[in-house]
Amino acid sequence: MEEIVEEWRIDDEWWRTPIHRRYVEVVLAGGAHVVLFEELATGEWFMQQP
Amino acid sequence: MYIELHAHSAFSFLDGTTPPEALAQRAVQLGYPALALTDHAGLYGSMAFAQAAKHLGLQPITGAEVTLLDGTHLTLLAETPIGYANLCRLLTEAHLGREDRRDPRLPFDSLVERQEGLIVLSGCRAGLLPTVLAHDGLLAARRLADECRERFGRERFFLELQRNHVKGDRDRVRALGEIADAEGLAVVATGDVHYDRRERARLHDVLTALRHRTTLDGSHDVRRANAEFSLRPPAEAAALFADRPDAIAHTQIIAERCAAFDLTRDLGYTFPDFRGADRTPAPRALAELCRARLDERYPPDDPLRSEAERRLADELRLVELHRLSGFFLVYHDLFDLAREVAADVRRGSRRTSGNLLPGRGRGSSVSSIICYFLGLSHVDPIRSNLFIGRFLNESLASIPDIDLDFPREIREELIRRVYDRYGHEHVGLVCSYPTYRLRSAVREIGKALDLPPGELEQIAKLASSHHSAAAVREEMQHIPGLADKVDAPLWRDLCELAEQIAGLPRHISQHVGGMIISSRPLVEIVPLERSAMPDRVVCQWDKDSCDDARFVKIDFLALGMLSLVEECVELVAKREGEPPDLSRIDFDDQAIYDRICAGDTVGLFQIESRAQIQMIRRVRPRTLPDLAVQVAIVRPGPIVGGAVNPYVRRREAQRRARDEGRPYEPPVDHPLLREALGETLGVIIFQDQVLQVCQALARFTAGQAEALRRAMSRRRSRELLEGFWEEFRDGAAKNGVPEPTAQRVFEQVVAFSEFGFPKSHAAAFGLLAYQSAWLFHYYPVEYYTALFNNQPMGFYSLDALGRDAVRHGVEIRLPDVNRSDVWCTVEDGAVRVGLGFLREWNEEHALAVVEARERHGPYRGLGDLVRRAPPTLSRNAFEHLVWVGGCDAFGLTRRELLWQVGLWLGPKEDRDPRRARRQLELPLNQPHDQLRFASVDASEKLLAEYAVLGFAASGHPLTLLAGALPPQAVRSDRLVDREHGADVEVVGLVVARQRPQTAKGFVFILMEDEGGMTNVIVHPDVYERDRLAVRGEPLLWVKGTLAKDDGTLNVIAAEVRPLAVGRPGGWADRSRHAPEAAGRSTAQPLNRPSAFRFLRSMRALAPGSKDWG
Repeated sequence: MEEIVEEWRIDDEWWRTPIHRRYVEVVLAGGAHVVLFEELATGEWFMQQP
Repeated sequence: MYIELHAHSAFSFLDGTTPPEALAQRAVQLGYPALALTDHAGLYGSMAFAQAAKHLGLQPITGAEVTLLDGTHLTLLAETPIGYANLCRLLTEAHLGREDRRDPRLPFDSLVERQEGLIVLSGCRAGLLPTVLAHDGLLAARRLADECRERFGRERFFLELQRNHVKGDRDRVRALGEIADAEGLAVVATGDVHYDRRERARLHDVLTALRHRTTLDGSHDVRRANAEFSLRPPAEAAALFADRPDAIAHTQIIAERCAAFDLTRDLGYTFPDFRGADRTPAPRALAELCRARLDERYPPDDPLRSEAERRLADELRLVELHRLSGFFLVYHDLFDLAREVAADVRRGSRRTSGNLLPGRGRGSSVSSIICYFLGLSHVDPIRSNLFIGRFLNESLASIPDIDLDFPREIREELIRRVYDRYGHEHVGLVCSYPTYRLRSAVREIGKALDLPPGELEQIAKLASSHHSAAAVREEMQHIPGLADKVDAPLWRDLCELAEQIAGLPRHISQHVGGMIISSRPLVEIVPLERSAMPDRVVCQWDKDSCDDARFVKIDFLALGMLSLVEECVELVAKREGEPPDLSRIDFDDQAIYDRICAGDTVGLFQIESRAQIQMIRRVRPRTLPDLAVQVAIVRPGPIVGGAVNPYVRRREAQRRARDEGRPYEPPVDHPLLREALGETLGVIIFQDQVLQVCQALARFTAGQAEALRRAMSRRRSRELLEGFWEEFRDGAAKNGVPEPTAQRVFEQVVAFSEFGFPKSHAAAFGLLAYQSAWLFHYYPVEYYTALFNNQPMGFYSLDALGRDAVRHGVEIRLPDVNRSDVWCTVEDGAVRVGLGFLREWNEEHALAVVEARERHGPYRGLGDLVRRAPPTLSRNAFEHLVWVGGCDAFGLTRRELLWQVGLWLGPKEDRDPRRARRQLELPLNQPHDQLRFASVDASEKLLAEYAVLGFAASGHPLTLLAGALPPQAVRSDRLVDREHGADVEVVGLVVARQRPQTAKGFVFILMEDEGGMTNVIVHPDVYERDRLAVRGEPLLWVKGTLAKDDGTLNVIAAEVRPLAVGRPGGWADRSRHAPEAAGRSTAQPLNRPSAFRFLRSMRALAPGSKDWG
């Protein structure tokens, strides 16, 4: 990972299935941009599909 | 250290979630030394915030977030008093300069023009600079920043940086930082706070959905992305800007600069300086005015003369001490204006010679002899033994309130004249903030959560009598269909969120009668905006904030009873030639007191409610001071304080002692209380007695008493009053009062955190109650006519009032097109209902029909009426007139007349009532107008009256059901023949339902049958089981036990059901049962199917009951 471009947080849909996530947009070696997010309730990390 | 400079309270309507006081408290908990409040387009909560902040040791910074014409935002902070004045003017311009008062916006140039003393921040994500940056790019943003620096200066304009973990923050903050560095501008970090704690983010989401009138699901695009808009601990906020320490440092620098302005101290409001024409100093002018009246009211040989002189000297001294002479002179000026207005309004009418006052004082000001001399009070304070301390004392910390009641038409004109007299820049109306109640909160939040409307409405109805989510959830558990929802997702959220939103302000509205007058232009002291009423401008502060600001607030209230009295006196003068002089009637007329003590008080002022009537029969007032007690005792203060039963028992003991010719000494909790409470038989009935008790028993100084007085009149007063316990206990101990006694007395004191009347107010209202009873007794027809014409007012519906009239021998005659006026009139000793009472008839329609009749003679038939009536009178309107017999004089049955309506007016038009009928030019006859139809029967007539007028004049619906009612049901006027403790059944139409907070879950129902009213008391257990009937059914059957006690009659309910006919306990076999024994006539029985149909229709058409609690 070369660089963290942006970081943000989402808290939503508490009235249904709550979503609490921390998102990170990173630049990988080679220049690819990838968005990862962490489910704050479980600590698991995922990669967002384009 | 980081200081928050951008925070919204609940006064950013439907956006902020936190009351300003709570925001201040949270800031202190987190260790902030200062906080800026920057609500949208207003300073609504700023005074409350500043007061709370000062009290907590927090520096309040006054500001606002404004929207520019292009929709972008800027944050403005007041640095100096001039800056504050500019802020007020700018906010006023934003509101008054716009067509749509709900979308205030400010021209950028106006801000540039009025920037002195202000600090300007570039705004949130929707701010001016960020918006240009996002839409037009970096270069455009730099140009704009350059312009802002030129126009505002480096010292005044700051770039606002916000990091709330929203996507895009990083780039935006970096870009803004670069722009600032390049342009030589400073940056400042802010939090864009919308709630005090993270947990309130849910409520914020709901408010957003409400604001956009959509559901939570539908508000995705406008909701904030996360829950990062709370007030953070300063260290956490500082850590977010570790790369820009200057952004943090500038928060402190700005806060220090803004310390130069303190809203609680530097407002600059000055008292209107109105002196006499010869510029006599105000204290002397006031003294001279009063002394001129002294001889008139207390002639030299009057035994009360010397006491009056002492009282006047004392009050003038206090007035001068507090520099209030100008204040009283302003009021005197206003009352003179009121006299002019009244003379103009009454000109040409017969009541002009009736010596009617233009208006009357109410509240504690009625205890003042100065007010009495200036005409602001009509009650003699010396003769009535009224205590001045509630109104004026040594330690007065706020401007005293003088409230004045006027008849409606005088008040409307008076408000207009006040604007003219003092100038539109110097006068403004006080605002109020309607708040969410639990019931409305449940409805609205439920919609946002997209919950099913039917079930939502059930819960909303429950919520109307509770004040906490826990209580609502508790009640839900007992209702089939709702019990399983108590802990279900969404429903649980509903209750919690409804409780959080309850009490938050929804929007701004006009206060009932408060006006502010200032010598400096008001627009520099508090922002003004348009109210919903045309031509009215309100200031952005409510009465509490105006009080904190020490504004002179005038309260002009419209009192329906005064309008009734005006009209009644006029009608009497019309009949007798001379109006009665209500100031000179016999105030000891025992016939009046006999009527009052019998509980025959429906329609009278203040003493007509169910609770009042019950109390009257126990208290039995026989003098004006007794009536003052009567008016005051049915209030939460005395009820919660446990004063009622002791008072009633002691009244009885007093009566017995008098009959036996021996003196009566009422017991008091301690001899020190004898002077303060002797008159009310040892208990606290009046609010001012609270002060007297604290002074007498606990040695409260004037200062402590003043603090207590203020606490009593504020919101959340119970908590404030409880804070006085230690001082009370210690003071009482110094007087040798044992602690248990002090405790017992203090409980009565705290009870007056609930609503209670000062004695002066009760005396003023008691007097009006007597005068209304006098008019009613001697001129019942005129009284009922005025009562009908001045609705809505009072406790009873027109339906109940009409039957009360009939019970008193006054006939109510239905509208007649050839006899009725616009409103009700007196006709041959009866009340003729006016055409304006018909549904789909407005005042203009009625006036046109009446005028046409007066010009060209009575209407000769339906065709004649249709030709001469205004074209905008709809077909429905004609049918309504026919249905209630308004055209019976044409000699046809109502069905025949309806047929003719169809012939003359053609098919029903589309539903737009504004489409005019076709006008008929030629007086030709219609073919088919000779067809004949049967007349309508009694049940159809009655139902038509309810449908068209909302009340029935033909009688009580139960009269038509007499043969079908439960045979054991006893008529209300025959209950008195039954024994105490007897099992009884009663039926009736519900007039009122009450579930007072002070009643511990009991429900009181007032029902009416053919004979009169019955009181039903429903125990909480019975309510729980029969809730739906108790709360919602218009016609009830009740089985219970008769309780006869001390002149009162109640049915203690064991079962409450909707009234049914033909069910068990229903259908009467008249050969075996005798309904006559239960007091019912079977003169006009409906047959069983008709009775069933009639009852079903009645359930739909019955007038709504008056419900409280």
